[in-house]
Amino acid sequence: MKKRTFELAAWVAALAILSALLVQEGRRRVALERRIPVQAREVYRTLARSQTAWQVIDVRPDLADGYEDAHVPGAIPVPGCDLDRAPVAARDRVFPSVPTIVVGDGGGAGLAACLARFGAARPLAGGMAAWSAARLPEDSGPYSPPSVKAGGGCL
Amino acid sequence: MTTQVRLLLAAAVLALAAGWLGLRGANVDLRSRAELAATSGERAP
Repeated sequence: MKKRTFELAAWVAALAILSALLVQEGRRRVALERRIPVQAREVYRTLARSQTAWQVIDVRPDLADGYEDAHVPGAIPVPGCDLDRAPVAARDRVFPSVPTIVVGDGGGAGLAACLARFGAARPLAGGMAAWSAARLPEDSGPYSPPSVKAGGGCL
Repeated sequence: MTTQVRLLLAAAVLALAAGWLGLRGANVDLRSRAELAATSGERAP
């Protein structure tokens, strides 16, 4: 009886330890992915696929000089990653659990805050300047939500 | 504990171990990419 209990405890311990290691490694992966900027062309290719459910968050602090001047099509403006500063129409379009590309203009607290806030977020390498330099499609003007309720980021 | 239960537990342990090792290997690759991105001056937005 004692032997059987010991065996069961050993199996449970092995399963628990391995599960904990797996979860830890998964967390490490998410943290590592946040450190790897994604290239503009890669973002474009990903967003161009119709089945992709990604959102693009533009965290540049100045709406008029940044987002309204030029932005990734479908991007949602959240200056400084502060929802209170986002246009009212954009506030309920931000989903923390959706894979996210964060567009900035050279670092800053907004970028770091957004990378920490979203479950699977990656920065756009070079920010909006790199997107423009790659001559990828861009929009201008104030944010207008899509007519169909779906995540942002569609090209 | 029957042999079937033992086999089931062993399979679960093996699956978890394989998943952990696979993820660990992928993370090593990811870490080197992250370090490369940081050192090559790849500018974050």
